[in-house]
Amino acid sequence: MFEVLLVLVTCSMACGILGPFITLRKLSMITDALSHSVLLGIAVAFIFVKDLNSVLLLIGAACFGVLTVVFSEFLSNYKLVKKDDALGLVFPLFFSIAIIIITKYFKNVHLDIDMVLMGNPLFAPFMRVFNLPKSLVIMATLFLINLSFVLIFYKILKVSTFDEEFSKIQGINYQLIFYILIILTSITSVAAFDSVGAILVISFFISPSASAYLLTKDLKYTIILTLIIGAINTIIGTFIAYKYNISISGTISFISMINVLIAILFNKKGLIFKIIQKQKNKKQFSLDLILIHIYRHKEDPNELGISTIKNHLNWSKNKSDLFLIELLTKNMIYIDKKTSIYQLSELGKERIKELLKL
Amino acid sequence: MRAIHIEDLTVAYEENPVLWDIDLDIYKGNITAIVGPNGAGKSTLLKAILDFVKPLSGRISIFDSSLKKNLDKIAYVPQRSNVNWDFPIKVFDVVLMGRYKEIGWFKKPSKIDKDIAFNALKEMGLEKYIDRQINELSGGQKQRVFIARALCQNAELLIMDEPLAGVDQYSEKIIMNKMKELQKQGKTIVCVHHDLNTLKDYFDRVVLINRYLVAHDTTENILNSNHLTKAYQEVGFDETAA
Repeated sequence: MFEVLLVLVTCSMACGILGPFITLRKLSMITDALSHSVLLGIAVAFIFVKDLNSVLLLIGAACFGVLTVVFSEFLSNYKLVKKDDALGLVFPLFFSIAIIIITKYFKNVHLDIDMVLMGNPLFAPFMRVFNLPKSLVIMATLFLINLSFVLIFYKILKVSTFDEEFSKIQGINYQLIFYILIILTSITSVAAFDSVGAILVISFFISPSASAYLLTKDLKYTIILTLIIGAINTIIGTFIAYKYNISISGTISFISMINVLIAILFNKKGLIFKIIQKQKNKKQFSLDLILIHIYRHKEDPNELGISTIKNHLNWSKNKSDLFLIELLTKNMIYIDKKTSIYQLSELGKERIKELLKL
Repeated sequence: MRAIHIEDLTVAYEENPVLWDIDLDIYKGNITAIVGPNGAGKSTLLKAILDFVKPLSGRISIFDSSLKKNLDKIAYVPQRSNVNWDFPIKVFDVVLMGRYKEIGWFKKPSKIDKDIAFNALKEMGLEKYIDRQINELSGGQKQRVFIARALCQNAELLIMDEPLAGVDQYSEKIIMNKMKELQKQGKTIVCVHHDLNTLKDYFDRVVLINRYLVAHDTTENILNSNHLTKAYQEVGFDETAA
């Protein structure tokens, strides 16, 4: 189980390190598109090698992954088709050509996406190189490549993703950077499809970075958090899957989704925070209201009397006591012993000034 | 001395001509406004100068040399819609980007670079907001962030596309005072501008375009002539093609 977990965590990090750039460029669905369009690469490679176990099938797949993006970029640059539409047009095209080739020429070969790409993490430990699971070696290598790409080109990636025109003026070849990013995404996806299956890969690319994005407003921390969240999701998912003997990929994807939901709820602009903020505002408003009341009716024994103030506010005794005690403990008001009325302290006057901008 | 020299420039999108045969010199050390009605090709002119669009004909030189050789002397402030507003980046980091080229793409910014960025933000009156995400600012504040970024670049030629559009009066004052200050340091500033009432207050020279060059003169001469009415009434070539 340890090796399975290791493969999965490495996989999540190899995908996760590129994830923020993919989502920020609004290309989230690219990995989904890749999972289908690469079949054409597999089919074309199979024409040449006629061997289902050849590595060339994977290389073909990666090539067509890149081609998918090149084609859809080409279409959308023409301005007649929107960016996501273009992707949605190109990948079914590639997929359907692949299906036509396969049904026409390789009817008797068991060639389909499942054969080449639907890896299952449970089988990872069985294929070994250097006494390590093969997919672990591949994914770790890819993680290191992706990591160094992001580290070395961090500033260029940041500038070109944030502001294309600015990067042009700065003399950055932003298209080159974009295509390197896409090539790495494509290769990483294909290798990861092969190791852990397509749905999980999509989830690895998108959901940790979606969670991280909600929790920080700094790109550096978005990337670091993406890696950490991806790893945590994977570890939790794997343990649950083992415990209840259910699909690992399914469980991790599910946990990742829950994680995003939690981030949505607890995000600064999220639901929970909004409710808390509303309560806070409501309370602050009641406190301010009392201050203003005392300010407006300076020393009026009737309006401000300890026992009569609640009648003027038309509040219940409980309610007015609650807020009056809070104001007293905050030293914003005090009780004038002689006249038994509430008076503003210096702090309270400060607050009034702020409120009325005097 | 001319900062920008344009000769026989024609630009078209697809088959629709946007600028016809522009000949124009923009002089060093001036604050020049580019003025014209909607669809006159003002932004396109800037984009042609910056090589964002390829001209059909003509030549552009910057400081009597090519654009490529002068990239580090130019700062550009775009119209605001062009960046990825949802990007997880703080105001301070956006401004620090203006230093990236000088720092080097593979090195870390030094204390000095950070000070320069902070000072630029301070000059734009934004030092309180350095930790905000860029989208948490108002329109005028956003515009000032990008001007602060341009200031950090320490450029000789500052090109701005409608820096005052939708900006509150407070921001407008800050921005234009800074421009005047830069001019005193010998910098050249070119702005697309839409408010004819403020031309006299802010600009030395005005370039009037409406598909073709209507006039280029000192602000005073332009305002005293009938060129403005001409630019806004006469249609360049094909009104519907904009």
